[in-house]
Amino acid sequence: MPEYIAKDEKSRNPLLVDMRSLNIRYRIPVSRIEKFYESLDRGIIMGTKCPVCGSRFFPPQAWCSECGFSGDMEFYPLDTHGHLLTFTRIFAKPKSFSGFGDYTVGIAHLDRENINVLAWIDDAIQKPEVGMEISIKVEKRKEDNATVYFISKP
Amino acid sequence: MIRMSRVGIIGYGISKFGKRTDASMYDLIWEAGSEAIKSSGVDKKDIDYMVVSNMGIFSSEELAAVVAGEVLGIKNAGLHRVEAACASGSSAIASAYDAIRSGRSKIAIAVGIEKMSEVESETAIELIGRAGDFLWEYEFFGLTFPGYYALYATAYLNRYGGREEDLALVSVKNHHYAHLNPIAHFNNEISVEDVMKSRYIASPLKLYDSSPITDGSAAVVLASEDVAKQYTDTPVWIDGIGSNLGTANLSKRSDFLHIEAAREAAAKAYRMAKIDQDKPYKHLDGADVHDCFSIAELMAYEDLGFAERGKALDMIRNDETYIGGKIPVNVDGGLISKGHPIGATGVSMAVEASKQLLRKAENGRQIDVRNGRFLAHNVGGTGHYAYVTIYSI
Repeated sequence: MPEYIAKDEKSRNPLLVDMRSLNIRYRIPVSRIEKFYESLDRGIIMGTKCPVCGSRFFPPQAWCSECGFSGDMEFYPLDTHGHLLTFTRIFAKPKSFSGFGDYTVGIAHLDRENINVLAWIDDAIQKPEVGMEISIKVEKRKEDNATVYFISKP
Repeated sequence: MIRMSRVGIIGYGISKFGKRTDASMYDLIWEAGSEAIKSSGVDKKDIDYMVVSNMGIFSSEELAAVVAGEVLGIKNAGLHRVEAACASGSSAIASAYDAIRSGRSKIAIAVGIEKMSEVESETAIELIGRAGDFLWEYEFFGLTFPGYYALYATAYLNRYGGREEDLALVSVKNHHYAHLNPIAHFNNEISVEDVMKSRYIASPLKLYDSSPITDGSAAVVLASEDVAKQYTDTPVWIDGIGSNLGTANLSKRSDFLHIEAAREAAAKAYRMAKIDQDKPYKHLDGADVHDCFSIAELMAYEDLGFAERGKALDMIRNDETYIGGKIPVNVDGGLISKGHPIGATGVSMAVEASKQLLRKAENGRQIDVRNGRFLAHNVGGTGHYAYVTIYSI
């Protein structure tokens, strides 16, 4: 057999092991929401508000999907007080998160914004419960040193 | 007024589902597609439209549709690939239906294919996880598909007083029927204890609450009413198709207790098929629903109107979705045990509907055909796409 043919460990069926491997890293334009990242770096989480109809958006967006306004959306700091709607702890992790320990993801409702935020739940919340009070905080994540927002204690 | 022709399935085929290290994408398409063409009795030269459903990112061949055309030796048909994530198969059926209904096609073939095991599991988990809202759910938070559905499960169990053991009942039922279905990925019966002892994938969902990573293909040949009757006395008609979209970002949904897109799709399909939306199960003999995870089957009961909101728990506890109950659901094993080759799943539901309505299902899993109607509920992504299709004889 040529060197690129290998037997599957379980079934012993022959497989051609592809010699062309691909490593993809996307470059995603964020110029229209640049203010969000500038503020995040200062520990503030911004949403956007439509100056015409008042609709609020998180994640922030540079147009209004409700009334169709296309122009300068207003960036404003979110009132991050809210409560936890649901959560899960991820045990079977994807390949690009394989270096992380198990992590807990939740969705929180921000009471005064009527907006939901999906994020990791901070380790400080050891036993998450549906309905518990939370706030959203910006932290440097220790696993990858990334500046991200967490669902955290109020 | 132009009389619109009905559209019927006149042939079907399905490959064995599983981790098919013995079969390439080409081989799988051949298994399903050649059987569909043969059983329909049509000459492949008369197939004028071909649609292939495939998500595609798991396997080396980028253009599954052209592979399918070549494999099946189809030369004079229009061709395209469709994607609606895990509901791709139902979108292929809808596309073929539209082509025939408009008069643009007389005989069409819909082929669903997914070859998922060409990449290792961790990569498959990654590729499916990325199908959420990439920037706001995946990039920083590494959501997985079990994770998204686990968010529904936590909210649902909390709200309606359910336990993980209730979810396990879905897997127990579906494994029971898979063990009677020769093409199913899994052929073993399991107990609630087995499910409860299996490891957490994304709490509260465990390994046995989850559909596996599966290779498989399914195909159906469809024709307009006048053409269908030249080939068979018993076409399986498509009476209704309803589809609806959901938000890209899960957090923008109104709650995590149901899938709004599926409710809308069901309402549209029932209206089109003239089925009373109050107690639709009274007009159906059975259903295949999208149980990518156990919680999804419970939400489907409610979104389809088989149970009131919060009452799916009673339905599963009381065995009402076994054969002989209120309405049999997923007696082919469902995605959990038959397997979920993403692009093939919706087409495999059409195959199952045909087998059931023609009373050709295997011993022990044949439903009682009284109304002559069978429903397929196919959800893509986290509730991003939903298709409900109603088949009849």
